[in-house]
Amino acid sequence: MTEVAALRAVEVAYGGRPALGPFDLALQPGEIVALVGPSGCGKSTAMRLLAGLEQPAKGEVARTPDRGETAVVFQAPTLMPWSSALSNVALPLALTGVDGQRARAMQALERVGLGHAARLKPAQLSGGMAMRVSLARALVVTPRLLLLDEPFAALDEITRRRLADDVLALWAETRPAIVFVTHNVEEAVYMASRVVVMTPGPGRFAGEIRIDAPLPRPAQFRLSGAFREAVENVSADLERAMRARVA
Amino acid sequence: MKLSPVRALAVAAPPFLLTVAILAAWEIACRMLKVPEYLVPAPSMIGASLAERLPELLQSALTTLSAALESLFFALLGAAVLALAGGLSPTFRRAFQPIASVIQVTPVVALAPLFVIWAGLDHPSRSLTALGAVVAFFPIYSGLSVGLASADPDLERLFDLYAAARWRRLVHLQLPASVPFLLQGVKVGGGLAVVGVVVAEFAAGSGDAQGLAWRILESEHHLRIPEMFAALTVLGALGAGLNALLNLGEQMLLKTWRGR
Repeated sequence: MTEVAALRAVEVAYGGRPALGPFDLALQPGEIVALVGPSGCGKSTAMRLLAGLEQPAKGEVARTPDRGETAVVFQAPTLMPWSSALSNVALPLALTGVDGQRARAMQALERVGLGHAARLKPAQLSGGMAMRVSLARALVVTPRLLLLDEPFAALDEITRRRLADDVLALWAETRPAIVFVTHNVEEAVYMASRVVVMTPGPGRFAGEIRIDAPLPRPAQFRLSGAFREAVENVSADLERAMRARVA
Repeated sequence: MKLSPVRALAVAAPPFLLTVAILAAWEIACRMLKVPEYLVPAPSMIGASLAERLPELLQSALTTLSAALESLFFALLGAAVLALAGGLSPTFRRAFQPIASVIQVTPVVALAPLFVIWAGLDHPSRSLTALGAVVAFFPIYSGLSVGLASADPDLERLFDLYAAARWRRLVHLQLPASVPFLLQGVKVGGGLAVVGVVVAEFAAGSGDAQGLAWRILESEHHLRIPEMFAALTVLGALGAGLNALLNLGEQMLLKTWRGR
């Protein structure tokens, strides 16, 4: 068993309404999995299960990383408005009581290209910068499991693409297993080694497309035939999942 | 947010002009209709009385202000202790909620006589502080309680993810998140403290406390109505001044809090 984390036949319901599952997902070390599916299909719930923030009603969650080796990036930057960028990045270290917090936080900020913004507070950062700080906060613990819950949803297209490249470059340094949730099929194909398509709520497995191009990928990958084909396959799976629901 | 002189003038002019217009109309009406001064004194008369009595009035304003600030301090202390206890124990918060609501909805006038008796007729100043504190308590308590629970749910999840200890959550998340709510509560509480102090002084009627309410009562007894208006003017200025000061303090602290 080499997997970093796995969901096995998990089911979650909110207020008696099934929200997810039964759903399976196994994560190998260093792989990047994109979860794609319509709104309300339980993608975020699956993320919370993987993070250990929620327990399934049925099924099993297996996790090998410690709490300190898991990191989550949310849809919004979710920074503490009263703290500097540096203190925000240092938060996971402060909460787990690790030594050398400032130096490590500064390093993480520099990795996302924001060493100069260490003393600024969130209100003084642009949306893209704030998201980078959020990313630095996730990287500061050197995670083995990195969970990204629609991290770029609120950003403009150019910032989105740049951040996607940043995430891939950062992934190449320590190769954590990454799961990211997105509505954007092209983003999923560009970033992931595997795209898992989910059905409308309660979310179940609807299909899986492997993208074999080596990671991290050059920007030209977006122009390649392999890219277009993968995008079409994911879209077709998504269409089928949606139609099955309507039928 | 720096205003240019022209813009500042444009902002300040309408309220100033309206006030001047009302005072002028008032003055003219009093003179033309020959309204007796014990009913409605003309602004010029009030002004004269204000100038004549200024030292005593300022002395009284100081008494009222210091009682209000003292109340605000005690209200803040009590609210902080109880809201923190509620933040740490939801059971306590639920248990205290009805009491807090009763304190909020009971008219301060109805409580005043009781406080005067409790403070003892020889120490009406204590009843001033106590009543002021009771009315200032609720907005501060309520602001702080809401503020302690106001952190972004995803930030709370992050604290869950790293299994943060209870006290760390309080110090690193809940307390700093509550700052804007607390400042808002103190601002509202400051205004209410003045009301509480004045009402308590009315209920006490006499004694060692010679605040602005006492001046108002005294001029009523002697039917010196212009003096009464002068005291009211000072009271209004005191309330507005305190409010402006708390507003300024709130804005400055908020600026530091969020960095701009």
